[in-house]
Amino acid sequence: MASTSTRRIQKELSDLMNSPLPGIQVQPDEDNLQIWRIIINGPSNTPYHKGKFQLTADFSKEYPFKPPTLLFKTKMYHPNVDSDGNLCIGLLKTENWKPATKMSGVIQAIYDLIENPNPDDPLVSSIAEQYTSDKKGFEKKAAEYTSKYAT
Amino acid sequence: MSTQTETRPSPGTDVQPRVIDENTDLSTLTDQEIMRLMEGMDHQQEQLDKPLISTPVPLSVIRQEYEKGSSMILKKLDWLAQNGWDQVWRARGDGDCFYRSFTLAYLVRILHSSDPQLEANIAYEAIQRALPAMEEVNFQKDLYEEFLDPLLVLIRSFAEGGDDSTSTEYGIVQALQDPERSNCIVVALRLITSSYIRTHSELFSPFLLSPTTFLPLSTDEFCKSEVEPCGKEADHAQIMALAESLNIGIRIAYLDKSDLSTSDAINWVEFGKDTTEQGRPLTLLYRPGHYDVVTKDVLPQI
Repeated sequence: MASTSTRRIQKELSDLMNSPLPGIQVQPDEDNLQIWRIIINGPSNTPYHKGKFQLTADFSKEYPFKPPTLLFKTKMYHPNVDSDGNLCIGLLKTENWKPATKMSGVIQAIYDLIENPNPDDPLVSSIAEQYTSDKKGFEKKAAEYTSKYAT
Repeated sequence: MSTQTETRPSPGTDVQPRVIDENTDLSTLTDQEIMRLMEGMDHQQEQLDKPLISTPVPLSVIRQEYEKGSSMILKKLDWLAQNGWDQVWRARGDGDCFYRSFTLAYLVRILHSSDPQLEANIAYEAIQRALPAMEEVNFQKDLYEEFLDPLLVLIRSFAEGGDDSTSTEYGIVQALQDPERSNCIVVALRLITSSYIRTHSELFSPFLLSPTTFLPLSTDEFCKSEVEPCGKEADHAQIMALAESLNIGIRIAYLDKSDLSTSDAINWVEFGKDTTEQGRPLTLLYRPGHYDVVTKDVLPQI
């Protein structure tokens, strides 16, 4: 019998296959449905727009009662993503996680975060500071990172 | 490694929090400790080793925990015992204890009614009537149906009668000890509670406070942060919403040190429509930060 976790992962996957989010690709690992590869095209009008950013989503056996773990595999210069690819996003924090949150919502929230960094809740405070005080410098650096690592 | 913290003790961090375990006199807990217990319980291995919900233990087991404690609490426990409340079904202290206790009491109430098939059908209907509110607040139907399914399966098994193995106290406990089913039901009840609060915002909004800052929260904030995530303990607003939504009475025996307001030797806090003996309300036992179920071994047949 498929467990709640497996059933839900399959359902989330088929939802994303049937109505894909624009600019976003999702592929499960060939051997393990609990690991997904997600590729996000950098949003236009941002310094990330020419890049493709890869993430992994790792679903534990406790999913959907515990949040999946998302990690950027592509280096990016962003106040809410650290050099190990951790990202800071409210709805994925264990204490805020709601089991009814859909993966499309999670991915959309990450896309929105790339588009609109949140310097008030930073993971890398130096980048957040630059983002607020020197937007031009931030955009230049972010674009450099994008062409170096994400294209 | 930071040496700063060793050379510069800051106020508040130099006192190690004491270890709170089964032997701690619960009546000595400070508000801070209660808050810490509520927030951190799911991280304690000791908690994780406990079943999600237990088969009943005698009330005297709870009394033993308080023997060196407040005489007021002992008095309340003795009153419960003298009045026939002699067994406690313990829920794991993981922040979902209210919802798990509710589920157990809800199912046991059906089981011990004079007409379990009828009661099961009433419960089934009550849940169905709670669903339009979920639609109204745009919860995804396919998702909440999946979470709700294990509860409906259990209720249907009562409604169909027969000698299904879940139609016993032991069967109910076993079903609710299974993490998958148990957690699905917790999420389903959280969604029902949230949708009721969201659709009755005018009624609830004056009472929606953050349990940590005591500042008012909007209905949406409250539901998102205090109702929908697992592990967030229920307070009066959530309990009232669930009781109203499923049209069931709930009486909660408050095991605290407060003085007694009535001639009863315990403070019962009541929620929902019919909390008289005839209405057969669910009966829970509250100790600061935790809910269990308290029942009489022989239930009144009405």
